[in-house]
Amino acid sequence: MRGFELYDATTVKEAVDLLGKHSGRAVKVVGGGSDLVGGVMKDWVQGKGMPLPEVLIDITTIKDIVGIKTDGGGTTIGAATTLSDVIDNKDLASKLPVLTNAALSVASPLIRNFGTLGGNINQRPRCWFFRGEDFACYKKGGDFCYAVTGDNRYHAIIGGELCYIVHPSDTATALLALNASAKIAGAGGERTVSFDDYFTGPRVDVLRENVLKTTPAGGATEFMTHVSIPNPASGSKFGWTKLKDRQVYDFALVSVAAVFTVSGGNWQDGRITLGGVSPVPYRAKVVEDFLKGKDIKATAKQAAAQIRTVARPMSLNSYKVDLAAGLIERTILDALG
Amino acid sequence: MTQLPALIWVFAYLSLLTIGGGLAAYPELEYLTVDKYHWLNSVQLIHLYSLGQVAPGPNMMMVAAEALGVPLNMVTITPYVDTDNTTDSGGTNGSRMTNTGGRGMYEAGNDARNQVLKYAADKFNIDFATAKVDTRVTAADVDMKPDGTVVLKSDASKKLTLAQVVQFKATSIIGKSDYLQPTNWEQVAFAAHAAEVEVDTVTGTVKITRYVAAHDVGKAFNPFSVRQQVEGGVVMATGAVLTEELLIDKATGLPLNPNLLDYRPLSIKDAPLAEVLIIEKPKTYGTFGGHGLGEPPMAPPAPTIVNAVYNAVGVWVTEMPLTRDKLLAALKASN
Repeated sequence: MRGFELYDATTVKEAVDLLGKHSGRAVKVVGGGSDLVGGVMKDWVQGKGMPLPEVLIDITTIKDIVGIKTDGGGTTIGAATTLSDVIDNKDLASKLPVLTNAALSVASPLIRNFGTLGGNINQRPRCWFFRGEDFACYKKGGDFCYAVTGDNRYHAIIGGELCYIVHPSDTATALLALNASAKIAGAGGERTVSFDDYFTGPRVDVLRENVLKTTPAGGATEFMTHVSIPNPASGSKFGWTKLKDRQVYDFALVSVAAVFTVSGGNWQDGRITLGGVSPVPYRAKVVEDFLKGKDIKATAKQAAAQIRTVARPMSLNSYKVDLAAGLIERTILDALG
Repeated sequence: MTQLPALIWVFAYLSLLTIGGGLAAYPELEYLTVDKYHWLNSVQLIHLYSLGQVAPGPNMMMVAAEALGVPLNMVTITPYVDTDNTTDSGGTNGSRMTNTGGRGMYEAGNDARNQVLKYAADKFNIDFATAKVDTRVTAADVDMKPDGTVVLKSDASKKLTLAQVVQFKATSIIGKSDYLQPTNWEQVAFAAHAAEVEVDTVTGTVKITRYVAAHDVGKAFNPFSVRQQVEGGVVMATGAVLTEELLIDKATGLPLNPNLLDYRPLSIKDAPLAEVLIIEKPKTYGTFGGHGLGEPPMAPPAPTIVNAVYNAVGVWVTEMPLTRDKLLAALKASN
């Protein structure tokens, strides 16, 4: 691993100032570091458009962005809160079980003790061409996507273009279903972005996966400080499914989060989101629209199959379309109870 | 027996500390067994520990003890063994060490025992001559007891310690053997495995709910390590059957999953725990009737699991690993 400078910020302002001070270099914000340090930097994931970090600003030392607050208006979670703290929080487990279960399905207890919610949401994708030192792909500033002609069994089935990564975050998928929004701090002040708009596909900017602004030197100028989750409608049903090849320390082949309200067995309103299928956490509006006002038990299968209308699988991953359809149906029915 | 409570206490206490494998508690193990209770010295402990990790090493000590006719705790391995300084007897391939190295060890042990008896007889004869007693004995008249005491068969009051025998000889007694592996050393291993699986036909997930493995080992030198060897073999093979596959990018020839995250050996939550049945039917070719067990546990799991999947859902997947995409494709094709 290449050497780097590390700064512990104690306030959000200090972190923003540090980012500004080092803006001429590849400066990154680090939480638990399980991906940035233990993955990207250890494995030399770099390229023309992705210099290896030279300066890291640790934000887990900022007290203001660690912790979980629940009040009448909703829930706010600091981005530097560990996944284990998210999982152990009893308010969250009763109010937003889909987030608890999503966090619980991440990696292993050791990673969850160290990994933060912000880090999980903003981690880089797992594509083996992106992670492989010798593949100069679009995401690293190269001019090729090796997945198009190569082994793409785990790649995107929806919304891939130019680059076919799948978004790796379980909590991001759950938070999108919960209609959460991200609070962002940067030199220009603070801003709030809904999760509907927080993630960006490769066509917008292939070098990143979210709206956090970067410098030409490949450094960060902004970082996520909090996640805000509105109170779900009373009586909401929650479902979470994550399919993985190995039960510990594995990413989603397909994950499904469902949050919805029911009236007399009929779908009223809600969200169904998928992880592991698209470059961004994907909201399956086709399925939601199909279910609107209909009897859930009777139509779940047909509704879930609507995902096929938006899927465009690659050479080796059409099985993921079947998985997505099957798991959407299963998740909705499980949530209904 | 007076040390039994202490033994129980020490290992119960150590088990609480053994997080992350036995090695984690090694310093405490050494403090208690060496410094505090003096059950053994630190060299013996490190040999026991390291040999415990590398079967069939411990089996060799058992064979030596058995051939010499002394308890296992009287056998240690020479410190500072280095393969630079030992003869080359080939690899451990063919699961052959217990029966090839083991046979050599057995014959060397017998040779050492015979020498002990011979030198003991010589010592008795000299003692008789000195005492002007008219008795003369040969090695056949001498016996070595399990505690290492050498006695005259006709008069158990005439005895020597092993140390006295070696002192009499004045140089070390070295048992030697030059055992040549016979041409028919390859012998068929017999095993039967059975698996019970649940197949999720929506996700293609294969879950092993029960696994039983029976192995005819001829003679289980150490039943605990036999069980471990079978359990380990089943876990390794199950990984190869279900998830493990080195993937190569066809365009560049580069590996795509050269790490344990993407290569996916089974985790503790995925691995089946085999119920092991040990069958002991002595083999004429085996050292003490034993049969090698290094590799045999690896072979049966693939056909066992694939057969179980066929039994559950009626389709065959004939190419390893049995991944969900292949299984789902086979299920689709059968409908």
